[in-house]
Amino acid sequence: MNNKILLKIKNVKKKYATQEALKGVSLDIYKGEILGLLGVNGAGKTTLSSIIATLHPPTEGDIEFEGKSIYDDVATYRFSIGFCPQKPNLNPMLTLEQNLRLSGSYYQMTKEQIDARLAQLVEQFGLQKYLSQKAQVLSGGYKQRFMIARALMHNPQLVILDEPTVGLDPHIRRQLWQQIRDLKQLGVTVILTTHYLDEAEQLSDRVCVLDGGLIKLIDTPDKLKADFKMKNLEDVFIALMSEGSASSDSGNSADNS
Amino acid sequence: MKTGIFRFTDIFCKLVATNFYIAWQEFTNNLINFYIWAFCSLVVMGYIMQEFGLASDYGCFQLATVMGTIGLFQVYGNSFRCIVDFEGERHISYSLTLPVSPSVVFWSMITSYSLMGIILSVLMLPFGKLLLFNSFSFATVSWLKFIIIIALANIFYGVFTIAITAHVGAMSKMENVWSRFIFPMWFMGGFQFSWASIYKLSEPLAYVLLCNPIMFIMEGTRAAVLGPENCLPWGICCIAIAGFTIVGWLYAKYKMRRLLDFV
Repeated sequence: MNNKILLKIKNVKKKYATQEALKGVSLDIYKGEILGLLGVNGAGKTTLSSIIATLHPPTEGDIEFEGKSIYDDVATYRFSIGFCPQKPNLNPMLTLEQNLRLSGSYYQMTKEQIDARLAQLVEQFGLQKYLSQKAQVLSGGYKQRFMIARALMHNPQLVILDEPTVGLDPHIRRQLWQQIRDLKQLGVTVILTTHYLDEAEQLSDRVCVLDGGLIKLIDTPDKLKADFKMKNLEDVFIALMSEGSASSDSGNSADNS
Repeated sequence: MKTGIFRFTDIFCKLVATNFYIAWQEFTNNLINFYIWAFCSLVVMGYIMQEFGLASDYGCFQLATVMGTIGLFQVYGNSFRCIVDFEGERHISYSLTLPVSPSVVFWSMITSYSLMGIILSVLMLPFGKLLLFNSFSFATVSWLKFIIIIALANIFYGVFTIAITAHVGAMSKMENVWSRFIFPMWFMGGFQFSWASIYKLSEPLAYVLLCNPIMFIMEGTRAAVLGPENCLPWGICCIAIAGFTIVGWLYAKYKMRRLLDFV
């Protein structure tokens, strides 16, 4: 990780009809880092990652990529990012090889570049066995590997992984962890949304805890453990969440009195 | 790397090719379905109903409208598949994060639906000739007009698919699509009668029916296949269909943005 800012999130808000999912999130993401996005259900993790992936627009605020607003030229920004959503959405009517090849072609890769990249990703993620099959036949772990491979097909600078290991067996999770570490070695910046605190602790250079649509805390896992005098990130997270609920309880009782 | 319009065109063509390739996997199945429907329709209207006093050339009249209706009957299936995706795996989310504008993604869907509709409609012509034999002559067909009206009609149906999908928005409301939209538009759209015949019956009703785009598709197709007599002017039909397509697209885009909340 270096200190060069790749992505600058500026006061991003997202309002839906009945709720405000993000209430003003500002955050800098550095080139080459793995940033873990943590939070309980409904904290705004998936909303934030889908806004960064340009799947949804923010209601307010801006995101700058290498100093320029991504909304000035969304299409060009999309060449620099790879998005792996929470739910696998490979095209079920195509073989997995067709899915990957098409992905490369959409990003203007030549046939030679696609062949080379495909061979590299197939080896890296161990996908050879299933290439000629359709997505329905895959187990959750393989679906996830194909999803990550598709997100990486065009060599993006920034990869957004939204809960990539949810529901996977422990040994497959470990394999995916190693693949995420490999991305970092290649200089790829990773935004990793996760519920698993051990995963965030193992992989993240920094963790960002979201709560109720706001950033509650952002720092390195070691610094957080030291500050909270806890042995692991899970304990820090629990302490942080109970601190939050205690303060909201006292706030409520103060309001009631 | 291609930039600007060339990049958009390149990705558009790839998306169309992919959608068409997927739709092609169901082509034979669809063709058989439409041949069964055309067979039943033409045999009943072209032969059986003549015993009950229907005009002897009604089979030809029906053939022209069958060709104009194929795309409309694909709307439900295509819309259903879109909704299944929106509520299920959301493959559309991947398409909407590709380096093109969302309009390119939707127009690639519209184009592939249209291409499939055009192919199926054109394939009804030899089949109709086979069924009606001497009752129908290719001599009355204006080929250029036929291709143009079928293309315009199927582009409209493609846009209509996206509009209806966005309007309905949920699987639980899909049952409304047939009974509230497709059936009344089809049945009141001149499938079994001409606009001129309604005009004779009731002028106000005839003008009200001009609010239905299917009426222009039916009349335009009949004008191209059977000749311009007793039909609305072919050119007017083309302009009206193009107008309905533009309005349909603006509505589809507005509603899709609300449904999928894309950038």
